[in-house]
Amino acid sequence: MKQLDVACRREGSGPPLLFLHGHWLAGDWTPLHAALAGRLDVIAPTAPGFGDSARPAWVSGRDDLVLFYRDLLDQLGLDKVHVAGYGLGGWLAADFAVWSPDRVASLSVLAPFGLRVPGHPIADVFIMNPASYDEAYFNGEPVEGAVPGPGTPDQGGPEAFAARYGDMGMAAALMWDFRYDLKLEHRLPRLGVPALVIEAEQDRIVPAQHTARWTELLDARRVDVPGGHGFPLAHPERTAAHLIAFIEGIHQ
Amino acid sequence: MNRLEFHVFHLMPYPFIPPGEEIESSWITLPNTYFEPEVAHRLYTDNLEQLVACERFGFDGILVNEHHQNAFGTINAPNIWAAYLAARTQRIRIGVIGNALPLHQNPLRVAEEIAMLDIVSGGRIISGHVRGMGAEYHSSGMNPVTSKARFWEAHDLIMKAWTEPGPFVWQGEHYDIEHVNPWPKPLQRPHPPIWMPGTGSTDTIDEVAKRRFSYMQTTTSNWVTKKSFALFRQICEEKYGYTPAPNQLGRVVPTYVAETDEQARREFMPHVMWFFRTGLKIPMHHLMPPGYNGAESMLRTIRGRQAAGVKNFWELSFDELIDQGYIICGSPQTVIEKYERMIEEYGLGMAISAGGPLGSMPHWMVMKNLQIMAEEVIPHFREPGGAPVWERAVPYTHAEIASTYGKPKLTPVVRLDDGRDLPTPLGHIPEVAGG
Repeated sequence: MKQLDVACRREGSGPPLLFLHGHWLAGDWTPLHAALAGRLDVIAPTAPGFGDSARPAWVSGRDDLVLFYRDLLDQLGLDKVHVAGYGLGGWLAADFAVWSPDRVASLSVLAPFGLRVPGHPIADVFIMNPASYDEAYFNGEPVEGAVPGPGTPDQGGPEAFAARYGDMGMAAALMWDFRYDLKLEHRLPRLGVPALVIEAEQDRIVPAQHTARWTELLDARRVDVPGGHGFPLAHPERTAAHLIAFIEGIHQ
Repeated sequence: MNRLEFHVFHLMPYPFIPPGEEIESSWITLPNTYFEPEVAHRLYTDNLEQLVACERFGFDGILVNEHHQNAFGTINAPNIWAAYLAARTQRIRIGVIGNALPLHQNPLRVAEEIAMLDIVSGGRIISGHVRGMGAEYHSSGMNPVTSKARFWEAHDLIMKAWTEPGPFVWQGEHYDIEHVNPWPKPLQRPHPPIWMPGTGSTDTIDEVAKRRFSYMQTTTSNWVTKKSFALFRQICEEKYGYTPAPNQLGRVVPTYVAETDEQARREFMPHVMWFFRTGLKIPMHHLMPPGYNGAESMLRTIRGRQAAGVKNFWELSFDELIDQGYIICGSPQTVIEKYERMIEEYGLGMAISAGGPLGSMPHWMVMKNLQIMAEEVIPHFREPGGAPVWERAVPYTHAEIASTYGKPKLTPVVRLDDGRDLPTPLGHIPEVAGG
């Protein structure tokens, strides 16, 4: 990658899907990725500063990641892809579509961050007590081994703790100053690409008013998956099925 | 030279809250409905009286600091407190330890306020520069990721504003100011003494040693303090080629002295335990917002704490706090012996929080602590005569300034229509002004 030392996993065949992670699950190939790869050509980069991907000093904002993703597509020789993202990744996917509309066949956002809905702020993922993750992300039905955010030294030891702390630090670089971008209100309606919004039935991180607003702004189709914000982990098959159906529908 | 400086540090905690065991944290999320302004009025006035009294008692310095949105320390605007103290005292040193530079949008505001304080106080200010606690990034909206870089850039900008002629252009990574030209500049030349606190991280110690500032070890055990001071001296000597002055090594070590060891324990215990169990109840997810530290530094810290068996503040017993040296408590003789050992073993030069207030201590007990410290402990470490360091401060009376400095370099004038300059101080006296 143009002087970028980043991890990227590509697997499966079918229409190409660039899948962008959010503030957690950054370097992981999860059951959701595997399920998507059954029908799609999944490209899952680990963004600079996350996981094992180095962070050059000049990468300090979401705009830098948009350029990075464009470089990635160039390098892979992909002209146009379907783009999807989860949480912060949904916001980045939207940014990518705003600045590189000609590279985007469709936009899918899963419980996305990025909008301000007065009276319904997104939970502060940076201050959350690890002891409350099961409740906050999984509505009391945790998925074995999935520890979002910084965790504690007891969960995965000091190494895993520090690694998650580092991922969250990069996420903070991207969205601490403002947890939303008011300009999306004006930019999303201009996109005119096929769009899908996937939400949790009961999301305790991203209030339902957000996915409703994304749906309006993108003139999107909206579907839901049972459970809380951790739905891509808790219900990977159902989540993948929605994405696959949407993307395959575009190609029919 | 006095063998040890004694500084009284006030956090001004607000102790009228539920016990630490019942709250998640004394920071950020503790509802401010517990804060009663009427109670705080009494508390603040008592707290300020304690600091003012330190001058008569003969301490070397009185210190305040900046914290936000918590019960642990309620001084949000330390420069305002310093202004009050400057007005109520004559000669004692006043430290703001410190201003949390990255929490402010414009570092020049700090440069200006400290300069104003230094001038009005007659050159008595110590300027502490700090990053602000991690928790303060949660409650200010400032970005913890850029905090360290902003801290150093803000610090460099302030130092340049104080020491180099303005106007100049500042084009940094975080601050872009086309015209830096603060009026006033500080009275002390080249600038007020700079203190920087730390918990023992090599990076911090190195930066402080490099600049020849004073390093202030925050509340830690004897073991950690000794290690930090040894590292500081080693870096000064091996990397920067000088031997640090004693007053470059300060340590926050809350001290209580009473008539006997047992009486000191009785009186100190409840207030110390409130401070550590409730005042310092701050969980990791409040203390360390993502990005405040790097992942590697976090890993080193966790491993270091695990290896050394370091407990959280609120898990330490009273005996552990004393035995491990977080606090000092005892008769004058006991306290003297402990300070002697710290001078000998660590090279301690400044004892901070040495007597005075801690936690929920009532006013009378603070005053008692100050008086016994001043009369029965401090003289032991002073030159004959017992004078504090500020006896040698810069002149501050008009007569002394006139005698040593003279008149202003320029006289204000009004240019008259006929081209003559009328000196304004005498302009109302025709026979003197000429004409």
